[in-house]
Amino acid sequence: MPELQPAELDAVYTSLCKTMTRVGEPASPLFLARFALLAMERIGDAAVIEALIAAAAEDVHA
Amino acid sequence: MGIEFASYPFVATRFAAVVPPLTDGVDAKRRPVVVVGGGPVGMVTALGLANHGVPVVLIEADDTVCFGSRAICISRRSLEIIERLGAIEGFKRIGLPWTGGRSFYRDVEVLKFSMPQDENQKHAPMVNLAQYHIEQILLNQVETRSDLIEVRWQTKVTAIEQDELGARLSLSTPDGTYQLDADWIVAADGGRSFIRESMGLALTGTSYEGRYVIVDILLESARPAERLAYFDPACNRGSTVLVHKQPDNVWRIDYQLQDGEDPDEAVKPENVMPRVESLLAMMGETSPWKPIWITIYKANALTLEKYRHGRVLFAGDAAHLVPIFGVRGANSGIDDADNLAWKLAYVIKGLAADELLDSYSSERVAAAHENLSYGTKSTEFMAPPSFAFDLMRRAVLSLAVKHESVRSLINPRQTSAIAYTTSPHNAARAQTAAFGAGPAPGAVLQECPLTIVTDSTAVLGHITDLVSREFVLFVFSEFGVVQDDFELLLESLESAGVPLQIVAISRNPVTSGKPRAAFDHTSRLFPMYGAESGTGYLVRPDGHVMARWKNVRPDEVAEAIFQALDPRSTQ
Repeated sequence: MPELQPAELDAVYTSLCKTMTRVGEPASPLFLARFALLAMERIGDAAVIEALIAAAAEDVHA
Repeated sequence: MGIEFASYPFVATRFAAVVPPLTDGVDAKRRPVVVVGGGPVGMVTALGLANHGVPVVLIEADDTVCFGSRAICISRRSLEIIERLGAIEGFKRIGLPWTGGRSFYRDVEVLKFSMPQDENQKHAPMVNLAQYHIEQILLNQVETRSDLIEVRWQTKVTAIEQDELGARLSLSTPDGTYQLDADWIVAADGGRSFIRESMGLALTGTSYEGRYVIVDILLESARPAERLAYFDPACNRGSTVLVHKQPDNVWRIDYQLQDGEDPDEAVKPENVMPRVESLLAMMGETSPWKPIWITIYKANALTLEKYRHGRVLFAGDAAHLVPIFGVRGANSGIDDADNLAWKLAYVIKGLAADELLDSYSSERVAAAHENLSYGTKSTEFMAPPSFAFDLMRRAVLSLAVKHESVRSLINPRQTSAIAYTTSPHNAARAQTAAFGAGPAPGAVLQECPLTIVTDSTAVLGHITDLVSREFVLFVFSEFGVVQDDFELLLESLESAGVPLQIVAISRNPVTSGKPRAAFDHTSRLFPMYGAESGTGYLVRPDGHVMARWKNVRPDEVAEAIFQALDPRSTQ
């Protein structure tokens, strides 16, 4: 899989933040859920997705 | 109980107002240039002009150098500029050099960054010192140039009128009012520029709502100088705190106000003291401390669209306001002054057409946009402008502990030298493609040690020492030999009044240079610049590369210089 360069990560991070701002706070969980679903489909590897789900959940309540 | 404040460990000299001899209320002498604003940008501009032999009147509203919590970080690029003005000694003596910093999320270190630093560098990537130090050191240098620079303290501009040939300033002092005529005005009168406002010009861009409290304190500590950032620290949950060391036991602490906090309440000493106290306790600082100065900051990312308006040239905060995160404020203003000084001097001395000043505007407006885009990114992270930026920041910080891949998003994007990639002066664009290394046209020189030989004296130096008031052509060769046709070029340019110096850069030791040669004693310069025997780099008086050739020819050098000085002559 191609790797994101720091400048690219920076740009898509900002794009996500701006889009979420536009979508508004109430709809943000749904927006992020839809993004996660599209990302899963594109990642296309169940084991990788399971590992990412576990990593995202880890310490989330810390 | 009252809270005891300390003073800054600095005593400023106060200066009296002076009204010059007048004719019908107007200064009897018309000036080639008046610089309005005696801050770092105004003084660097005045020193730059004086370096070129141009006399300057410098107008300052106050009676002393500044005080309060202002710029504290001076970049390597700014130090290079200041060295050319002869003022580096004070910065090296007083400034605290540093090379990087650390960021923490709660109590875990999530990022350690370093700015570029290696054996090739002459200056530290950054030094910290208070703005009153910066101004005092520059003022000391201004005073050594009293042959050319006249400072008028306690003098306020109350009106400006301009026509095609110059401008008339109306000035007010405690000893009376008068008018002053000049061919050119440099407006370096700060973020609330009177000149900008009276000309009806507006800054455009983004103003952020997020606020920071800025506190300078007096504290004895052996902790080294670095940039410390604490996100959601135990001492101030939900907030972000920045810590910088300054000379003389002064520390700068910036902390973010949270949504719903009233800024007027937040700056009250009784509300600031406990937050600083708990921060210092968390850091393990146990010495007694006192507050010196408390203020509030709101980030702006704003600029004028053009910095030249007829005979008036805007520089520094008068031209653009960049967020503090990334320390691009004073540093970008110093870069403005350096770009402007040689161009304005060349125009005043008749060496260049006044179109040269249009590239001051286009190059520095482009630089401001680059600074603003970095500054905006930093601000969006340091003072999240919406719930979404705030939420994503929490995601970044909490993941950064274990996932290195997201840590680059925390990097503070510290100021670095900006390349004028779209400059109209960049020449020989086709030839630059042949290089696999080295600074491209528009970029600043890459630092490298060299042995500089003048006549028959050799001294260890660096390539930035070779930047001059004139254009400089580096001609690379095996034995420091420059072809005769370059001597002819120099002679013909000299007779046309065009300032050029040639420096022979030699791969092998050289014993004499006329006027100058340099030996690549580390063998690092040739590969760093992608140079072979016959390679040439043409460098502007502000240290930016203008053109480079694998096989440099005299006629192409002359064309690049004439194109810059008088575009009409070659079109």
